[in-house]
Amino acid sequence: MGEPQSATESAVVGTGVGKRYRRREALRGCDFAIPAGAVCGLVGPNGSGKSTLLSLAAGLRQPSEGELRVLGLRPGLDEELRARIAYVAQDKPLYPRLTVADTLRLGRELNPRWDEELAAEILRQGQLQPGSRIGQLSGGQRSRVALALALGKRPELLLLDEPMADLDPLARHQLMGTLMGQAAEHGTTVVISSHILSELEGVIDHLLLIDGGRVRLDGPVDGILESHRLLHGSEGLPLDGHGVVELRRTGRGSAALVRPSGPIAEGWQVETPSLEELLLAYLRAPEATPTAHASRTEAAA
Amino acid sequence: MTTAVLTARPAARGGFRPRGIAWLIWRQNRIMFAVLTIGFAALVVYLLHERSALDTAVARVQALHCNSTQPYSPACGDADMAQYAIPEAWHQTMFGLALLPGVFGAVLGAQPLATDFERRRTLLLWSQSVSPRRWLTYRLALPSAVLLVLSTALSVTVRWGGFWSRPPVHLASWGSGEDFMALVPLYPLLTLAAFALGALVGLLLHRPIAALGVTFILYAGLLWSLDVVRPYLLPSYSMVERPGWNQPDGAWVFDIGVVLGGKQVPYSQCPDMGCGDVPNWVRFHLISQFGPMLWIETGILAALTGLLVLACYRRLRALTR
Repeated sequence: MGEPQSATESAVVGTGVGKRYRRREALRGCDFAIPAGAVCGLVGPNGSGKSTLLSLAAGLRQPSEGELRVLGLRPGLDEELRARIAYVAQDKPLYPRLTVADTLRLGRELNPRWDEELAAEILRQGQLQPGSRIGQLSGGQRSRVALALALGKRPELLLLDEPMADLDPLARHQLMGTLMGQAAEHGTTVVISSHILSELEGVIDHLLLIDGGRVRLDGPVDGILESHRLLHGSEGLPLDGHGVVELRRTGRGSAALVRPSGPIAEGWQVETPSLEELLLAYLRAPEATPTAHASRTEAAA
Repeated sequence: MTTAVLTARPAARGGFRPRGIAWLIWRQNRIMFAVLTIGFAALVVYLLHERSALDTAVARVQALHCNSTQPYSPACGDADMAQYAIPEAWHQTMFGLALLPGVFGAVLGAQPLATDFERRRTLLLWSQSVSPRRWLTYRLALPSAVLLVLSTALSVTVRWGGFWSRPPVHLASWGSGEDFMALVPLYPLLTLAAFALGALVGLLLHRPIAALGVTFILYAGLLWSLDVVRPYLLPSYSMVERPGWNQPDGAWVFDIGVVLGGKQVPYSQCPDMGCGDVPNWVRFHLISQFGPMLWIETGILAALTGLLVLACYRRLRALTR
């Protein structure tokens, strides 16, 4: 089947994707493209639609409107896609009465491309006993088992919904290292949603910011950061002509995150924002205007 | 530091080795399957023992040449009592057997499915390389197969003990719906229908305790409905008899009462002192209708099971939309 070129180069492509649950609209008109091989951070406040988007990409639900393509196929409808994607839900549901070894066997029995060695290695790093029951493990240990189950599938696309939320810093660091190592080694596309913004810094190379069910930013991290400037200066300095994402008072003056469209007025101290600063500014200013598409286009340019 | 090693795929062994999603369903239910098998085997043994005890009691009555014209002897009294007590115990067992499918529907169908949804384990399963549809097919098929085999074995034993062995338990004793339900081929279909009912409730409710309760209530409603419609499934007969009547020969009675003031009323409407010498009425099917009735109700339950399974798949489709 001949897929459009853009669909095959991108691991996940959304075109006008919307999802409605009875009276509540979780997503609407979402256009985005996550390149194959990228590590994409999916960021947004609670209830913004991140989990819904991940469940759509995993094929657990179908969009109410628009089209979502994953690896060029329709998740949930094209059966061959199931073996190529892995998904870890936010609460890492597992069977508490199964042992760790039984849980690995679950992965082996239900997945044709199962990599037992890889899954076992991830569990060994966490010093997990094969005979331990899942119900007796800590939250962090259960997260590790869930990740082992997902990575053992050898997926081409890995969808992780808040995977590190209940891990201690050391375990988080270890597991993130394992995750990134696997992604780099096998060219796996990773979409990772997280509330811990600092954890994404230096890890993701693509950003998808969702707020109120809409995509607000979508593009390579470097490009997005380059297209924004963080300004510090005294109050009343001009910002005319620039796309102002956020303008706020600080102790001694003002700070603004802008998308410059020309030279910055004198008086402002200009710097490139960090990822965390950029995301916080967008999350604090839900009505800020820069569109996802524009951001992607400019960043790509 | 752990020294345990997570091994790769174990070497193949002989015996029963389910694979894929069948392994998961077996692993989740193996204790329940074992309990069920032991329980059903115990019931079969108990019924065979009771049947044997009945044969012994009947033979004893015959050997003692007991009959109503002879003077009373304690030996005859004991043998006669056993001859009636054993079928009574048998029928009480049948009542329990008729309720069992509701338990299976709740415990094997409703509760595990509702728990999987409540704890969101379906997300774990559906994000493996198995489609939700295939998962549900196995989730329904494997317990159904086990229940079908066990309930068939049990209901064949009941039918053999009640009808196919000699002497048969008197048909007049089989008037109650619960006794009728425990016979093959009706009982296996009743079991499957109860399981499908439980599965649908589990898929709908996602709350284990509520699913258990609702399944029990709906199953009781199913038994009651079958009891209500049974008289109308085949042509029935009625008769008014003089006082001191005997049930008509060759009748499978489903309702009896008295005639008071020209109206046919149940015995419960008799005054405290009793109804006295008043005519009795009886409604019944013929013995020749007993077998066809079993098959008609089996067909009804098969159709109901099919509809419930269809509803399960439709519900699953709605859950993945």
